[in-house]
Amino acid sequence: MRLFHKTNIDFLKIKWICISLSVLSIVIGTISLLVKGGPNLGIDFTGGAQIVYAFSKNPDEDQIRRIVEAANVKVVSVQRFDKAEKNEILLRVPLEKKEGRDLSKEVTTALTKALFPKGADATAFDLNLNGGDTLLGKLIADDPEKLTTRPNADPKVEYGREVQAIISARSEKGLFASADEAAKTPGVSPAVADWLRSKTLAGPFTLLSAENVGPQVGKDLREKGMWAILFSWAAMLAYIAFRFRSASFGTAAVVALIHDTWATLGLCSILNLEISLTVVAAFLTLIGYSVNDTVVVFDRIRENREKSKRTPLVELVNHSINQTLSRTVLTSVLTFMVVVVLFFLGGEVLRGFSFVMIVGIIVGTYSSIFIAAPLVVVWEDWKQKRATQKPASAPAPTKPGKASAAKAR
Amino acid sequence: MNKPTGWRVGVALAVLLGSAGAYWWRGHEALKKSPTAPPNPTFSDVLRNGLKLGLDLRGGIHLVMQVKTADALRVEAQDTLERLKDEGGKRGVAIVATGPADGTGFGLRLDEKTDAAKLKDLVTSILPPNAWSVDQRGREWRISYKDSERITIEDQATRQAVETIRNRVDALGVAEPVIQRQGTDRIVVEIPGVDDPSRVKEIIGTTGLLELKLVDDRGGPYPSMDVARGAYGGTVPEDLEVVEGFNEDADARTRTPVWYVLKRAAAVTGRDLKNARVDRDKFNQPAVMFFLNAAGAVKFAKVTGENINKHLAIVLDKRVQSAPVINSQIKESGIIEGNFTPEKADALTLVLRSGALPAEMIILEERTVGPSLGLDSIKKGVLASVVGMICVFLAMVLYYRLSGVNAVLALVLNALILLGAMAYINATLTLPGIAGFILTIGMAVDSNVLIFERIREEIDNGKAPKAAIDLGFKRAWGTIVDTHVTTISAALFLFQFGTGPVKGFAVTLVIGLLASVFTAVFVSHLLFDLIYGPKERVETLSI
Repeated sequence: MRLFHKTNIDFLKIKWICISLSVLSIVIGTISLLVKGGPNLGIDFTGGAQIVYAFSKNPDEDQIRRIVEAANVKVVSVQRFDKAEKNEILLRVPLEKKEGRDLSKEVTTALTKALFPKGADATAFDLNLNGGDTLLGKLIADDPEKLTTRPNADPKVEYGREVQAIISARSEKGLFASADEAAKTPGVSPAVADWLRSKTLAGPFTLLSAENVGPQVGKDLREKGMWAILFSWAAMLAYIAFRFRSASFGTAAVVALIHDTWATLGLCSILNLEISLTVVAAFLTLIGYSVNDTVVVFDRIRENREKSKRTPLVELVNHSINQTLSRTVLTSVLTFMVVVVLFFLGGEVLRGFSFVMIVGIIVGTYSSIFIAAPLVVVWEDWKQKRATQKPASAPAPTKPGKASAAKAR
Repeated sequence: MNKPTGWRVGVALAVLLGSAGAYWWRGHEALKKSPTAPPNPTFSDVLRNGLKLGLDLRGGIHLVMQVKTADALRVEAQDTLERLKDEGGKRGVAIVATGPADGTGFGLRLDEKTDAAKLKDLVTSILPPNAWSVDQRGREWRISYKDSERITIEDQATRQAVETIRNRVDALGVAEPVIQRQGTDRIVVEIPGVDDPSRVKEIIGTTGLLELKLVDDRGGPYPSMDVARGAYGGTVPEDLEVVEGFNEDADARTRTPVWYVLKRAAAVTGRDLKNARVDRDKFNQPAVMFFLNAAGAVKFAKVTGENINKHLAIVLDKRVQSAPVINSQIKESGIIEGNFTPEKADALTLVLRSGALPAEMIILEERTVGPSLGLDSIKKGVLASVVGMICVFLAMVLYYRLSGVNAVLALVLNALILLGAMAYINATLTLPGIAGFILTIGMAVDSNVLIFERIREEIDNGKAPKAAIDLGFKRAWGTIVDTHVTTISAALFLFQFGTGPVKGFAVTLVIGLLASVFTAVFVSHLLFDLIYGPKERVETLSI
């Protein structure tokens, strides 16, 4: 199968349309960023807390908000996490001025008191909220199997095995519907099963994850993230300058790179996508990927230029884009496919990441063909014009690429 | 073409076996160390243990804590002040503190009648001049830390905190905890597999400073701080302090706060502690019994002996737990009551046994992932990886036929090298790392595409198939290097920036891309040579 076989598309004909289009979309993105006061940073960068619970029954967001606010915890939002039928709730709490408040504990206690009063009692033991350690401690203390009467039994090992079985069963299921369900876990002895039924409860929700980022850490990560992006831009510029020894190529590649990052950021802002740590990771990957695509086209331009120095630049660039077109498209499609799979199957945590990659791959591929290569032509045209206008400033500017010609091959 | 292929096959096979072997070896190692490993691990047990899973996949807790080093500085300054006053008393130098010591030092005032030179002697004999700087303004003296001393104390406090936390985490009996110092005053604690974040935070974060202090004769309890101060005419004397506690009634479900006035200097502190265990108090509630070491017992016996019928406050982390009457001289043990649940009492004994933290800790960052979310993430990540790989494989075979199969084999080897290398260096696989894995597959295939497209072009230009293969590989090489340098150098910045999960992503991406140079160029070329090399004439390529 061959797509784009021996194409001869005049990409440069529409270069001004494309450049205008890009400028326009970047302007729109920038306006959105300005109106919204910067990108929508997640708690990794702003600080604050984010707690995810899974409920056994369809939870009522408004009720949860009321309960938590009544417990003197401010709430930014209560929203569904993942698919609706999973009954998962993401609760956001704004940044506290001072570090040190155990928010997940406060919220969990408040929810238990309101939704499962039986579980709020000091002696109650909620199987869905307590972990293996606590369960093991309680089993050893109560000793339903009377292990202390058996001389060579180590309660830590004996009960440890059963606790592990119970906790993995819970991980599989999400949460226990009742203590009886926990008691029926394979590997649980009858004595422990009875103990579970009589001494423990299964509450209506479980804690999936809790993140609490204080102001200092948020600030650190914000600075680090910004520097990482700026430094990687600089590194790309340095590499391309070194590899192509030409201002036009270097500038074009970096303009395309900033174009890709900025346009994607703009779209994220328009769609209100939250920028988390993994999303920044996606941006950094995107920076590498974007240059990667551009470099392939540039390599070919340079190669063709060495072969036929007489050919006008416009023709040369067009020919090079056409020659690499099937590679550019195929690679992009393959990577695109992978990130689309990730977007749909990778789960909630990776959704932001894969979204940025999807957008980035589209924008990056577009910019390599329609922005980066045409910019080289625009730049060289402009330089030539300036040179012909001021013929006195001889010698004529050396064609970029000449210097690198000997070096590169 | 027709180049010697023997050594190349050898290299490829060695890499293949080496990667698989590294993964297998790591799987066995991990199983050996795991306390919960089944006695006879099966093939799939080993496979599942080859990679170390990050907290986001395994479940667990990640904490960044800060040692409030100012606390340690203040305590040290207060101790020094006390020492100075004691020694001054012996030598007839009457000094009073101008206020409580703080993190920078303390101030004192010399009595009108005493000669300043005497104080000077006292100060020079007690305070090492390289640690303290003395600022003399008439009879008011300000004694402050020198920078070097401050840094030493801060460093010691952090180091001691790391040690203490390590002891406490070890007492929890969890596998592979990470306790790491970060910068001057931060400590990173990572405990995999723990699903009790509150309990862990309580055990790690509790200062655990036990102090036994005498209650002043007029020491209360008072219903509020102001009333307590009022009993002393507005301000309590400098050697006393007002400390919050709660009503001693153990049956009461709601605790009413009360305030005591205590002697500032502790009779005995947790430093003199030998052991602690869970016991029952007079209401048969869980309580913590503590035992003092020899030095502590001597001090305790003296204080209790001299103060019979007075109240002794048991202060834990600056809160009065109880203030019983001293009925008789006590030597070496005491009991801490406090309306504890059995779990709380258990946690407190653990904390007391591991020793107090040198300063209060604050949690700067907390990330907890429950085991069920981790399991869910693994399932989704694996599914996405498998589907993503199948998509890429199908597309390559459809588009390039037999050469596509060649690329698929190279990709499979690429994935294997990636897994083997990660297992070998014991890198942590995180959820973004899984994303990195499948992204690597998507990006690694780029090298194959570059080469294959080039071969097609060479054939279009009229080259013979075998020559086209060699030329294709040769001409694509420069571009492959360029694309890898750009992508890898961008990924390297992720190390700089990232926390655990993001670093995991960077690791997978970098290793995967490096491996892809080998597989797409070396192995793929070798496969072509193996297929077409032996034939005399090759008419067409399946590409």
